Amino acid sequence: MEMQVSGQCSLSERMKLKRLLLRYYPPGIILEYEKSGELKTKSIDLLDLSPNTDVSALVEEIRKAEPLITASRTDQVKHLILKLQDKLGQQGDHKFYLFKVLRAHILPLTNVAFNKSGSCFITGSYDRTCKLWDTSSGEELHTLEGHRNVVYAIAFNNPYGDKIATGSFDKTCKLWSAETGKCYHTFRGHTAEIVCLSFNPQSTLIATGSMDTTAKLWDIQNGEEVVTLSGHSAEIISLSFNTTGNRIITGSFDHTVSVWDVETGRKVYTLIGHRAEISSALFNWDCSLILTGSMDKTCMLWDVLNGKCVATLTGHDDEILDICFDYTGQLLATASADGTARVFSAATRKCITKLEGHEGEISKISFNPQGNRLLTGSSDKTARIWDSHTGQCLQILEGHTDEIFSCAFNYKGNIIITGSKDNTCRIWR
Amino acid sequence: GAGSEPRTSERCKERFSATPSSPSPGPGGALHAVIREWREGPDAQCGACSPSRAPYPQGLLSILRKLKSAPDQEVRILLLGLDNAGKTTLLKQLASEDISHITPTQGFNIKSVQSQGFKLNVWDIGGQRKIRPYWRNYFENTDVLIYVIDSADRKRFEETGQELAELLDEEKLSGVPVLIFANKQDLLTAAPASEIAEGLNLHTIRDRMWQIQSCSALTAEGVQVR
Repeated sequence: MEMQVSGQCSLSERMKLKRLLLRYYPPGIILEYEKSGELKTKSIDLLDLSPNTDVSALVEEIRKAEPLITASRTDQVKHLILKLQDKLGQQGDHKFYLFKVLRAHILPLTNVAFNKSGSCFITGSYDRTCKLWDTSSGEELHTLEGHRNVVYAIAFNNPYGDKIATGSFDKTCKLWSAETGKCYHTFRGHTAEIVCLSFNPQSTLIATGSMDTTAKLWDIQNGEEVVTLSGHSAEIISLSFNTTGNRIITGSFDHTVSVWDVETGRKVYTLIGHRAEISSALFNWDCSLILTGSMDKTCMLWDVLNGKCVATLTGHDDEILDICFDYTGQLLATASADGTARVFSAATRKCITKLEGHEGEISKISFNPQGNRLLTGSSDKTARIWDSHTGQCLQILEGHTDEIFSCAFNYKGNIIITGSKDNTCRIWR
Repeated sequence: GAGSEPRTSERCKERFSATPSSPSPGPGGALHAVIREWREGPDAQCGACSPSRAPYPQGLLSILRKLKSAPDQEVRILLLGLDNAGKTTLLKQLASEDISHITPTQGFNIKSVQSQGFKLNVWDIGGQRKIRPYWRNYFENTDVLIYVIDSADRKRFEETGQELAELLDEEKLSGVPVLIFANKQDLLTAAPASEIAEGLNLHTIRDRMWQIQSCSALTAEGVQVR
């Protein structure tokens, strides 16, 4: 019997499902399983799930496609999908109020970022520090000191959230413990300011992009440089990993965007088409599309498989300063120096709505995790919340006395932080 | 425009003869002269500037763009000085903006001013004592240093002289031309530029071009604005 099994059922023997986890944004089920004694995870993405989806049919479909989901698990899967549908149905209409003004720094802030649970967040500043804050109390938990110039780019290693990376105009990147505030490593090697960075999804690498025209990958464990991504002829100002972490994308002032293989550090291809500096470049969740924004007033969508441009999104009268996808990748939004933002359908590439009202450039834009709201930060000193389908402005977050440089939703979508040139950070909830 | 006045070239030479020059502002303007000198050498001709209203800064991205090493026709100017010296007022005058509501700068202000084919990216950095240690954040790629002095604040001449001396010792600013504005000449108690130049021992500066210019950022006297 056992011998007979080895051929056909080797899969179920080697891969044993341990438990199922729910992921709300974007909707999905995470499978935790054992393979040759090692604990691994994979996800079933349900990006098109809606409250109206036929659950029994969907479960059947999943069972057919995913060998780890056996008949005995179907009830559990069904239960999880119902929970996801329930969550999708509660598209909350949260009203935000100013909760705290943090006189955070003695000089302007640069960027702000939440950890995954939203329990704490970080702020970077011209005062050369990064500070870690408790979201519920507004208390300062740690000041990360050691950089010799502006702390510009900051990140948590989400979803874990136990580490923080800071990239500075002092040309170094530092890795810190979020728990103790201790510096684990200082990554040296760039010859100009570090202006963007990201952890890979597995939290084994940090990528840094610099004004020296290169990006570098660093090993978190040993603190060593893994590889330098060279090829751009001007400053790199944007970078991001894809969801699986095998590709990284860099956007440059040389008007191009490059896609790199993380394993080898080799360039896979270059996206050429924009006629001015790139302001941002990112993947959608399922890694099928790349979105790029440029000073040439347009955004472009590219097919990840072949690197071909599939659409140019026009309409803005001035430079594109920021872009984003919603968590599922169905919608994308563009923010411009013309003071407006636009929402497009990723499928039809048509403009769905226009966000009008800011009295200055919009420098930051992001969807809430649910995808039904947009948050914009502007030089007009306000942040605004919009309905992402109708374009209606729902709230104006007023109070900052200078430009807003950065803003973010927490994962639940019920807390907002804004960082300003006025040296303060504000918590809204 | 450039060359319309036959003596302009002569005046430029005079300005950069490494001795304190006449505090009276010429129509060409000291700022422009320093930039021209730095760009094209001592024989360059001065001309009048025509600042135009610059676009409002565009968040962090525009800071990155202004950070990158300046292309040929861009000049990165760093505006420093003690608190209350008048740096922000000067910046706003250069950009032809309203100067009626100016508060102490807690961080920095950036403006781009077009001037005779040059794009001047001017960085005005707050001067309060607690944030002076952060001035060095902004030293990289500086083409011209403008140092502003409140000519009526005699009690702090020593302090401002010390700060200037430290700046001139900074490695990242070595060789960077310095233009000193003896500001607030509209006040009766203002010390003349020549006295300030002497007090600060400007004549001992040998390692760079320098220039002192009396002005009033408030009335725009000595600040070339049209």
